[in-house]
Amino acid sequence: MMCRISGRRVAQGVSLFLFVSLLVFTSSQLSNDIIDKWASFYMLVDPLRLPIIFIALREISLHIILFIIVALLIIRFGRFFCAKICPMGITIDIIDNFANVDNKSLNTAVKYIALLAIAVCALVAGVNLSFHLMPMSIATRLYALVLYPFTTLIASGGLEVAQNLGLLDYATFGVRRYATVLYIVVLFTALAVLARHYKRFWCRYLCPAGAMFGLFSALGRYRRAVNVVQCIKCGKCERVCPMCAIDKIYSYDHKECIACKDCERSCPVGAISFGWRGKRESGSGTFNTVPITRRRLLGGAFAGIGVGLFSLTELKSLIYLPREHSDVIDAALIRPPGALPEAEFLARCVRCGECMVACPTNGLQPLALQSGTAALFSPVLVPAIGNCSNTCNKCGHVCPTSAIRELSLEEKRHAKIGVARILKERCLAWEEGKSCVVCQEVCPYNAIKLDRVAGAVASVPVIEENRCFGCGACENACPQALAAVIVEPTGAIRISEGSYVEKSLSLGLSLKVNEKTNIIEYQQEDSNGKLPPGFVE
Amino acid sequence: MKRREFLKSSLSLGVALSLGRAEVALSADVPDLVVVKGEPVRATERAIDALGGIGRFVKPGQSVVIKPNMSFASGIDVAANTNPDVVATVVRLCKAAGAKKISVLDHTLAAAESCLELSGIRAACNKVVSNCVHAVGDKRFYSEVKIKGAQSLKTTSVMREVLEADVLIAVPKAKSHGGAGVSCTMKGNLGLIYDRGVFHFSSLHTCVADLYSLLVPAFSVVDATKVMTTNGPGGPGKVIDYGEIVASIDGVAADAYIASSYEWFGRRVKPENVGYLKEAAARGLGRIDIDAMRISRLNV
Repeated sequence: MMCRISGRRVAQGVSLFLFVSLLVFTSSQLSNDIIDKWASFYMLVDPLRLPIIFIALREISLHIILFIIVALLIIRFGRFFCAKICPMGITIDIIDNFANVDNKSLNTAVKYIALLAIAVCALVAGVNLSFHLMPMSIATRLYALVLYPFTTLIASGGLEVAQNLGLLDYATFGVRRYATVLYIVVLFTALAVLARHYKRFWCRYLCPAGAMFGLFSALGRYRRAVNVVQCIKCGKCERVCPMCAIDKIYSYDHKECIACKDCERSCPVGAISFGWRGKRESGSGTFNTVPITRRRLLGGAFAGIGVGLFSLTELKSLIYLPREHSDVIDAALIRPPGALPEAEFLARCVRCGECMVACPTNGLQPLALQSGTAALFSPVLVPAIGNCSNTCNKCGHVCPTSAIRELSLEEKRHAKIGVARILKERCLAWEEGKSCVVCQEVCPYNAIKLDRVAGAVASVPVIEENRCFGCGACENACPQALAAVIVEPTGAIRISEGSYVEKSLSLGLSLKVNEKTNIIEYQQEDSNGKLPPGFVE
Repeated sequence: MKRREFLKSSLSLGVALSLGRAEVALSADVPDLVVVKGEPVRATERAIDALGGIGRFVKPGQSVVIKPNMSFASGIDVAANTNPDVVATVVRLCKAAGAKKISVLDHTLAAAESCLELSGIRAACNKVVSNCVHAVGDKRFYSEVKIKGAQSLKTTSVMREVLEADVLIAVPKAKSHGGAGVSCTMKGNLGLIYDRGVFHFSSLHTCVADLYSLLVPAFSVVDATKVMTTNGPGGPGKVIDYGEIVASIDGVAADAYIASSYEWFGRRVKPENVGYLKEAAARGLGRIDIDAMRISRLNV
């Protein structure tokens, strides 16, 4: 049969290679500002990204131009994006290739209802839940947070073998790991099971971006046509269509058609063609497989309202706060530097994981349910895994939705994310009188000083809160199994505009990296006669 | 007996004898301490010369590990890491002496890449011997070793290359240390083992002395050009330009000189005020009686 590789497969291969390369480059030391800027290219073209944010925040910006360009392309050329470019679609094609045996059909209305529910939820409650079904976000998380860590582990093992053979000296390959990715694994496992009887299950029944593209393509007149004279009614086109969009050979649902042209290529007599049709022709040969009834529309709208209200009334939801001070902030909620104020941050963040793959220390992790379902999978710093490096500002550069602001290194160093606290009862120096100075050693902000205090045998670490950025280098390095110094989100600067430098100065903070700011002098003629830290009488 | 053979035999027999005494072979014409004031590169050359020349320690075909301090992601002005010119000079001398392999190794405290980059040591040394500077962070590069006669640190994981090398040379930074008082040759050995944290659970001073009983450098060249006298080991602190290179076959003696010759937090201390030096002297690992030492003071 068809042994030749079609143009579509070539396009898909190139697209997937580009998609994965961007992620790998972003996470590597080879990255630069330009790569970081383009890292989230696929996120930028996801049609679900901007409209939902704009609805949730009740605002609009010039960025909508990109959305309009994508929409115009789909109107003119059909859903080629789904067939040739979408990394989610490519992944599903790969799974189908292995798993699919026959192609059954269900009601395709589900994805339109899902799109409606997401939009209504954003409109009524200001809550952006698009991340649950956003294809680029899910694909990015699959490749960046699940498969990329696999390859780092394998590469690390390969390196070890090479080094046992005396090659490559001390090269090491950091193995990545991420929280909450079980969700992605379960999702793709389910899709693989469904793939047995349904080709492109995700695209046909779940993808709200595909639904949006379907509506766009209905606006245009890019259509499939069958030459009735040539057609031998073999039914091959109907069987090869991955979207089950063709019915009785001649008619098809153009909203469902992804313009993959598999039917055109498989037709033994060349009776099928695609093209921009005249006004009169465009209606012929098409039918509507999507019975979107009023009952279903209402159901979608009510679902959106219900989920939105649920998100706002959960105990730990920080989106709607009727009181001045919330007493339910979770200790884990250490947002990346430059993260917008929480409600706006959550409305913008699409949980793609770009910031997490870019984070050089692996410290940025997807949040579980500590801060409510509306904050699920959003990025938080877990200092025990990796601290916020003071020479890095990548998370804001790669963020496709500006949920994390793009900051200069100087600005970023003032975008305080929390504060470190010493838990004296766990501390080797405070509690056990040991000469441990690790937290002080590693603090790049010079926020920990060693002091001699009455009653303590060794010199003990003391935090100077107004110098502390909350980077977590101390928590990361603490030799205790459960760190005796931990970062909490208290005092984080969350501003949607303006300078972090000015803000931190106005708050009386003194955030300086590696500057001589708190030199303690111990004099010989000190009346107490006490020795400097570390010395013994 | 070569260091490598000696270590291997002592390990395999489980009788890791104190290596120190074997190496600290005092010779009548070599001073106990050499202190050279002046430009770092020439001062380093002069100091090693005064110890009897590099050829006394490094024979042609031998493998050498040089241990600087490059544990911090900061530049030369902060004075937390060894001056890169001093390290590169030692590399150059070892190369001239015909060393087969020269490695500059440290288990860095801060992120490895930043340390190698910002300390300037990688750039300086790689100019002399390509690809010789490494931050060794992964556990697989270490081997578990018993320390015979240790009081606290009875076993630890040491960099395998150090165990296998013929010669170990310490090129530490002299600086203040909030936990140990002063950090120099002996404290610098922490950069050769895997689990740096273990020191803080038991007595830091006893562990430093225990480790030094296992890992004794052939000689120590201390960078006391710019000395961080407060807020060590990471700083930033008050940096005083003493402009000295201190060298000795006895690392303990070099450290004792450093502790007693410079100010720490604006005041003077005695070698006995540094816990691990006191223990080292008591155990006979080296001398701290500065006043009784033959010190050769030179200028370049």
